[in-house]
Amino acid sequence: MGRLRVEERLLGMVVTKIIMPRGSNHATLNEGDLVVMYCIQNGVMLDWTYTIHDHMMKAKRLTDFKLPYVVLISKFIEHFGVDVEGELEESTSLLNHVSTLNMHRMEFTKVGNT
Amino acid sequence: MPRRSRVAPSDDESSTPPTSSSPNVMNQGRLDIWFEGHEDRIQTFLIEINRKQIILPKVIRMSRLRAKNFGNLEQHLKAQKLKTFLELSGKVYPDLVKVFYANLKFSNGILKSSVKGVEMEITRQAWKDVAGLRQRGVQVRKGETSAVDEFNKVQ
Repeated sequence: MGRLRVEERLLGMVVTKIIMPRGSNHATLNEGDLVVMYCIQNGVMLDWTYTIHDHMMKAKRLTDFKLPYVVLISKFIEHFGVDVEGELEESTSLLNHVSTLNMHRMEFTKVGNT
Repeated sequence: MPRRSRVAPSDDESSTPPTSSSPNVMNQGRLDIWFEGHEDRIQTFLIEINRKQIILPKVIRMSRLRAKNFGNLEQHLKAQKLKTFLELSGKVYPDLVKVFYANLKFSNGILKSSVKGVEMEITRQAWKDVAGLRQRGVQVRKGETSAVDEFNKVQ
């Protein structure tokens, strides 16, 4: 039982931090997140390109939204052969890994339940 | 032009690249290169996009999920063809990403943008090549859950 809860929390993090990131510190799940989580867990195939482009356009349109998918868009920029020489450049590091960052904390919760 | 590298902080959810924090320090020459001299696009960039923060990217490794006994979740994510997308990592170009957003348009079902004069059409093939994503399946977005019948029954 405890295992399922932990796994759902991890999935929630994947959805709110990577698939539809909002850049807030609160990992609250909204309805859109829950639908996506439901579909992943129940094998309902989703068109992710639709989810992502919708989220992109929303982030561009709405004043308070931060800009998501910096890695994906950087890959597109390289893919289309844009000259990146001399441009501001950063690198994702181990610190950005969901697993290394949060896994131990979640497992601590699990141990507490046993 | 000096190349700058910066490791993103771990506890801060978003980062603001130093060069684009203030429109006042923007170099007109760079703007011209980014937008090929399109003054209207430069205005969009300065007014709407430049002050927005970029969300610090997160990465997850499927192999680590398995190692940590989350093999079930790993299978679900793989079944959705999300592996490549979730594992994307490496170099990012914060300024150029903002240029991409400033020029971003959605028409006839295709995302289009341009960066430094290079036209970018995110076609079905580009989605597949870059992110391993297929353009098929149920289309779901926030506030539009009717496509998933079972979910609404659960609610």
